[in-house]
Amino acid sequence: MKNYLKLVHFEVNRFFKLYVIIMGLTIVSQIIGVIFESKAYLENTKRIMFENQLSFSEFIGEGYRGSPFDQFVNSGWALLPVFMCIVILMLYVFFIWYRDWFAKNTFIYRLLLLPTNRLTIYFAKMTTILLFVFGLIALQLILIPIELQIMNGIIPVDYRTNFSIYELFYFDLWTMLYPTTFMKFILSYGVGLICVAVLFTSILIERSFRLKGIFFAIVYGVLSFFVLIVPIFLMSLYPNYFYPLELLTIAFIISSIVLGIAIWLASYLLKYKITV
Amino acid sequence: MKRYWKTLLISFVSVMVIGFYYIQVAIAAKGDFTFKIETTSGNEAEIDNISLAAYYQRAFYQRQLNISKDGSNSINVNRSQIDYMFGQELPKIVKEYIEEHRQFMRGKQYYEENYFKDEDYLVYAAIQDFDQVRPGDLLTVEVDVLELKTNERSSFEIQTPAQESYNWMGVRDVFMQDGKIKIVATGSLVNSGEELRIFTVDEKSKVLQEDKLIVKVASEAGIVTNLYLHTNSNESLNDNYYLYEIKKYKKMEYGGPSNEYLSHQLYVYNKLKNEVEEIVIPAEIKPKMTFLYGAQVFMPTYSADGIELNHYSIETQQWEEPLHYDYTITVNKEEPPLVQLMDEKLYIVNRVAGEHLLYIGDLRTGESLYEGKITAEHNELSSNGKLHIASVLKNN
Repeated sequence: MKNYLKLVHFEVNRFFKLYVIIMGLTIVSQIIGVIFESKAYLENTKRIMFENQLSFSEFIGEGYRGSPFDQFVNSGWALLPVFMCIVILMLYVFFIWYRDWFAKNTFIYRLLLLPTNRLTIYFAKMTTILLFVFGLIALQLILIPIELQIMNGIIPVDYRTNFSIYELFYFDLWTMLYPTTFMKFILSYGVGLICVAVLFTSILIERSFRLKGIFFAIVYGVLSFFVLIVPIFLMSLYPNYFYPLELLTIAFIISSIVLGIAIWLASYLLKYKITV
Repeated sequence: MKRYWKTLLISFVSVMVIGFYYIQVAIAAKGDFTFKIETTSGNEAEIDNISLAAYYQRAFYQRQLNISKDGSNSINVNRSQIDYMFGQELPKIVKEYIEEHRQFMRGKQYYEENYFKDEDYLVYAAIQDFDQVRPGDLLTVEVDVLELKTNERSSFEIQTPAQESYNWMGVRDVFMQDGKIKIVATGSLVNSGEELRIFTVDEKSKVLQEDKLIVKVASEAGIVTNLYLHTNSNESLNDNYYLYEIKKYKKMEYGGPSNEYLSHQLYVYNKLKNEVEEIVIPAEIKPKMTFLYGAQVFMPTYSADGIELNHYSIETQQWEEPLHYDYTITVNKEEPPLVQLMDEKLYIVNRVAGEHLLYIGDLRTGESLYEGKITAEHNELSSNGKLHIASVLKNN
């Protein structure tokens, strides 16, 4: 356990600077964005009133009052940093392994020689990725109310529609990142965790068999993906044949099998195929 | 410990923030929009066992609400794949069928009208989806029968004479009569027009015995013709009749129907006698809505004096004395009142000056039982959107 925690911390440390930079970029982009979009919304409102010769009450009565926060959340200011974080973390899933092989002094040899189960390295890297994901999710959750406050400070109350915290996360992208209940959050990110495990194992297959390994890794990855989406196929091929609880059980069993195979295979490869 | 601060910080902040967010979401989902039914006059016990199915629209967001005298709870309308796996909202009767006949109900459509159940049989019928039909194919009806006493099941398909001349055809009701399965279906034709048909299937020989065209309507030049079928939703009431209306409207320039109709014909189909009878609507009645309730047809009209509930008895074939309710409603053309007949009562929900009013009257005596209004509670969120009441629900 101690070794595992040490390894997790070690991995966090290695990415921390870049992590702080992408967090910083997200904060800066979204704060500038919310100020910019709020001012643009207000300008636009005044322009509509001027061009249509509307009094303020006519403006409200005609239904012009919009939702500036929607405008901001769907703008590049808010979306691009989110996509940037997603892309960087996706790349880091590969980088977290390959830097150990290709960085200076082939660090993987030192890692594999540590007096601990080699699978601990695998779990430590996986935990690190998860920590980074949840950290960014939390950052966005902290940012949204702050941005809303900034927007409310710029746009007078009568010019905008207010939202509850529940509604703020109704946007398509947010419902993907923040499923509407905690149970769905666990399910969604559970699938994410399995995908990371499959990718990690694919990387280890490639590292074990090199050129041939690329082919095996792709076959393994594609196969795992198809097995994982079997419940969705079942739902579309046989609509209403399986009841919700049955589908959930099937999904749970299949996910456990895919995760189990990924971990077992990784353990096997780390023990017997990756030699130092 | 100190050296691990980065890992601890990320872990701590993530757990706290995500945890706090989901606690907030759970609280907000229960009460961020709170509406309730408030009694203004009459017996409050009248609303003990009912609730109102409603939609609340604010900017781009729509929330499904269930409003009762104790408040409202909201249901998320945007459904994800996971929501779908967790289960859809099913009609109560279909839920019962699933609980009682789990294997039989597998793979079926969950519309109430596709099923028939009596002491001996549970019958299911569905018409093949048009996505699966190629031009020239005959439409097939899937029939599944469960014999309740022996638990024996027979599944078969019958071909209907209907071909690709249909845009769509759907089952509106299924019933059994003298050992025959009757499938009532409505379809819209490719070259405009609608049909009401009854397919009779022999359960033993599993063949189509009769394809009876009850009515066919076609649009004429400059006129839009619509066919409406009313069935008794509550089968414990007299379920021997269907009511269908043929309404003709003047066609508007952009192709749709005008608001005022040119003619209005009303027919009753008697299931037992296999006969159609026309109901002549007296000239003085200018109804906006028609209801089939048991063996009675109701048509409400509104005036400054109150509500007149015109009433035709199918069994005596006569217009009876209309019921009068001392309750004046102002009809908003854009948002007509919700009228519902249930449990021998008349329910009306109407929007007046931005407020929804609920009225309950006795269907047997014409007596007013209850008046109330739907009020938004405690925050501005509940008051700056638009509430739409979809139906009155009976709670268990």
